[in-house]
Amino acid sequence: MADSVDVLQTLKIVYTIYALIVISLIGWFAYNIVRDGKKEGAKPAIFYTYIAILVVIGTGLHFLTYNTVPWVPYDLDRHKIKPDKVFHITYRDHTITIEGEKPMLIHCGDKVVFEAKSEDLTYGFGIFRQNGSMVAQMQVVPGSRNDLLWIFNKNGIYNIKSTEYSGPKGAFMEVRDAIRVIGCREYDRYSIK
Amino acid sequence: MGFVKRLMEGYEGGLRDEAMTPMQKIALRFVVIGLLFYGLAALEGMIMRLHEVKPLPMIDESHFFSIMTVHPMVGIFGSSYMIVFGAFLFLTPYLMKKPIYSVKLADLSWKLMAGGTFIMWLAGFLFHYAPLYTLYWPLPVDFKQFNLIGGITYIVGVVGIMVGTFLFTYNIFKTILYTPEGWERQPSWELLKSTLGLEGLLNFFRREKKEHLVPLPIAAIGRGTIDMGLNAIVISSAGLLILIYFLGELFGASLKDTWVDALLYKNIFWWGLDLIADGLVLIFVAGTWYLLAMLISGKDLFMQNIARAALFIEMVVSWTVWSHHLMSDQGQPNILKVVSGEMVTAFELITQGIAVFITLVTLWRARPLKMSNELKFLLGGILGFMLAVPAGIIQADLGMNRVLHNTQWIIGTHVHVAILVGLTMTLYSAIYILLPILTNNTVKLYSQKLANLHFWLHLIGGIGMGAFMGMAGMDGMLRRAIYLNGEYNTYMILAGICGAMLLAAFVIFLYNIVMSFGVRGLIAIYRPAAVQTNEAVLPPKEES
Amino acid sequence: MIYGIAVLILIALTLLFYFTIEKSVVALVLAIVTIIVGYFVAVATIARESEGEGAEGGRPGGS
Repeated sequence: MADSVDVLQTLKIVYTIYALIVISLIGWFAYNIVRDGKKEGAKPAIFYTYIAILVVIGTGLHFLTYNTVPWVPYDLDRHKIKPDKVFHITYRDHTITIEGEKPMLIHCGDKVVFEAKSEDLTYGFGIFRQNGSMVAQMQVVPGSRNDLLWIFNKNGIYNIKSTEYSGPKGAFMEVRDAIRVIGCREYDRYSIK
Repeated sequence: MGFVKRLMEGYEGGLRDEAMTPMQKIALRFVVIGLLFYGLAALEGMIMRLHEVKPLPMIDESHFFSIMTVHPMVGIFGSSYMIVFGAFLFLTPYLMKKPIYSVKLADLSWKLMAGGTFIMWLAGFLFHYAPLYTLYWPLPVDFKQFNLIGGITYIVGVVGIMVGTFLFTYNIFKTILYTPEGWERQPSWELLKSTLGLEGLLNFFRREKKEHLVPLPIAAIGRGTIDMGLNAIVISSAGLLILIYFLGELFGASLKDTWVDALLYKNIFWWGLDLIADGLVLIFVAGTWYLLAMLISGKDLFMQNIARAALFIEMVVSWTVWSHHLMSDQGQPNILKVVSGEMVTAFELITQGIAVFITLVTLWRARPLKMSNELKFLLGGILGFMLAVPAGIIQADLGMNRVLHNTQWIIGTHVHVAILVGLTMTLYSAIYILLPILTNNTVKLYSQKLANLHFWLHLIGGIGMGAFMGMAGMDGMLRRAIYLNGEYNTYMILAGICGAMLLAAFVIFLYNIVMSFGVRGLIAIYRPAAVQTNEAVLPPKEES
Repeated sequence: MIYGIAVLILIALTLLFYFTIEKSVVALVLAIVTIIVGYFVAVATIARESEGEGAEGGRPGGS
């Protein structure tokens, strides 16, 4: 099952190719605009085909990720899903406190919910690998329910960081080795200690 | 001619201001101050970049984040708003072929904007007030972290900016709608309907279509100004809310921050704030591209009615897309995330795509064109949005946002490429094309070689910085954080080199402008105009 | 002048929304619609005050 490393790697490749194409296109345009040649405008068929392509790309992206990025469907339906385990995390005075067991022990493939509660400011809850790459994140807003349902499919040890700015005092909010995933066949190679 | 003499007098005599109208001078006042604030924002960006590579000894967290707080405010309000205000306060009467409603209000606007930005900057510099531009509730009123005087100073600065903005909006609409003294009565309601796109909407259902009363760029200015007014209402209300809490604290009556729901506040605030990024910037830029394309090509705009309709759709879309900023807020209802955050936001790809298409085809029909400064910067601006808008659509997706939100991808690949390459290069193009009109053709560019160097350094620096920030973001680097142990140094050093190219580009441009105008000419911009008129430019027969 | 008053009323109204609305999408959307409609009304006051200006038979002008 795809994780954030796979998704972001795909993005890196697709967006780089796209960027090179549009840079080349504008370069080609700039080269030819100073030269004489055909001057007619675009036919309506070309314009409407172009618009149709934009519509397909703009909306198609969301249908594509709904069907290929694993966390989208269960994030949207999380209130209907019964989790295997719920972890409570409290934020107060720029400190992240894990209520209960630490590290949070998770069995491979379990549906776990991280319930983060802020008692003062807006913070962020981010799960990070040992190499600093992000697994997932959500905002932690005071007065709101902040619940992230996640399924881990690789063994590893993960850190938690606040991903939202909460003032200078919150610049380094981190709990190292906060999550431990066990029982999978595969190891997350960026999360091994 | 010696260097000092040329510096003082400018290239080929520099600016001669005798025949300049008050509006020409005011427009240039806005632009000059806007450029200086751009330099300040660029310098702040470089300080933060250097600190991310190797922590600077004189900068602690509170200082770092106070720079991060004022950096976008100086960049947007002190620079982009100022340049746009100057250009549009001049172009509105110029294109409507009527005098501006009030020269005094226009003059007051730049003073309030410049003064407000400076006071707001002081709040960061002197008092380290650092709630960031997002002002997430209740951080702005967290008195454990921030100094009350700093907070009040910040709000005073914001008030100056907002009052300046409201004066601008009034002056723009009034100039479009009013009847100058001695003129035949103007059809104010019809002009308003045409400006806002209501006539176009009604035409859609009519058999006999009514003609558009205002030129296309005025339609863009009017619709973007609606978003600007809406945005100013929301920012002002947030400022007032924060001020109430400050005053409560000052007089010993601490108010409970839980009286305001943080998520609701975030929704309203982002709805208003987003009207800049996804509203007026896109509308103003599209309108400016159309105007530039017409002026550069000397031809009518291709598919003009589609362009008008797209500007109207863009305005309506901009009111409904705010939720893409709250896709990682789990308290945000799914319907808002999917409909507003994903689906309506995708429309921006279409409306901006239409603007790119129409501008490029309009230019293409006039080939061969000379690769002038205005054309090359216009193409740079178009490229910037072609890169940045799809990056924005990608992050406005439930799957991607979960791993991109608040990373350097957002602020690099999307925001900085949109602002520095897309918006700023469009503004440079507008500056180059307006320069002869604003100066009655008296200023000649000092060095074309320097102009070319400015272009390439800015383009490569801007795209490169966005790219390396984006790569760092995809590797997990957050945007509102400090890294002290060189975690992302490869990317940050490369982004720093590109940032240095941007800064060098600006210094080169500034030098070229100073040498072209001459110091004497630049000072003359701030002296009262010898000609007293509300017209944008003097009619040819009256020119000496 | 009337525009300025209308804008001040809208700012005050938005301030009120911060204190009164809680966890309701409908209320949030209504608040946004109110601000948009209110601002259009504010801009319309500029057209209304401009309507009475000028006289028939003056210098023709405009776009």
